[in-house]
Amino acid sequence: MRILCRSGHFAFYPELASDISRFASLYKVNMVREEDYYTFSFLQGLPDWSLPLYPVKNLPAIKKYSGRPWEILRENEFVYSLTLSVLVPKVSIVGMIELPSNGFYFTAPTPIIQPGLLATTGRRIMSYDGKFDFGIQRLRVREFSYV
Amino acid sequence: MSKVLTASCVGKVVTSNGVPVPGSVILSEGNGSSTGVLVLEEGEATYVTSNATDLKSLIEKAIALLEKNNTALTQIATALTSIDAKPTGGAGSAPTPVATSAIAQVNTIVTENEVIKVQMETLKGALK
Repeated sequence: MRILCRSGHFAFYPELASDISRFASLYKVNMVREEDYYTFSFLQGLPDWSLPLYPVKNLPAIKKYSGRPWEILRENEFVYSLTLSVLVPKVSIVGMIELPSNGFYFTAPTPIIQPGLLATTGRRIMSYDGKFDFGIQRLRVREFSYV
Repeated sequence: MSKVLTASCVGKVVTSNGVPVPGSVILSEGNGSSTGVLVLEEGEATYVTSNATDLKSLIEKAIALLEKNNTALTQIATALTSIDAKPTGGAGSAPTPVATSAIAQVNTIVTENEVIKVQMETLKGALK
């Protein structure tokens, strides 16, 4: 199953009919359908605009912007917290993550990467595109970025 | 990706969804209070309102002014006619009236004003 994290927003693209339910069962999360992907239930219905001080889900926005939900998160510097299941400012994410490369992909130490974690470069990983392997329950990351 | 939100403007401060929107470009004078829409295009915000009510009010005042002017001109024509009326009777012939052309010009202006007034009524009714 493809896991696409864009600027702290999550989109899951199942390959098999059972992918979403298996992932939800394994990690005790609620997943919902949104457009052509699945996402965490809290992220459903994220607005496509923001105005300063007007709430974006649980946080007041800091910038005016119109665009896709992940662009709204990017502009307001919010990320989805896998632990708290709400939006948090990206600067509140502490911790580091190492993504060793085997030459073809990066291997994540966790099934899903919390956006906002610091890479060994000292910069925050904000987006990544990977594939979750149910067989070994590992995430193989094709690419990641700091934006 | 653009987003259109309802908004209002008071004292050149644009508000939408209960929050002020700093840095909005107001596509009008923005002096008077108004309601309109806020167009969000990525990080840019533009406030657009309709000034049709301003135009309607202006046209109504212009029509009222024309009516007042016509009343005044009609009174002037009446006064000139009265002044130009010469006494009858007695010996000799009455003096020649001298204000006839002036009276005619005033009446022509009154007629032209009535035409303009009708045109303005039509314009007011056709405001988009």
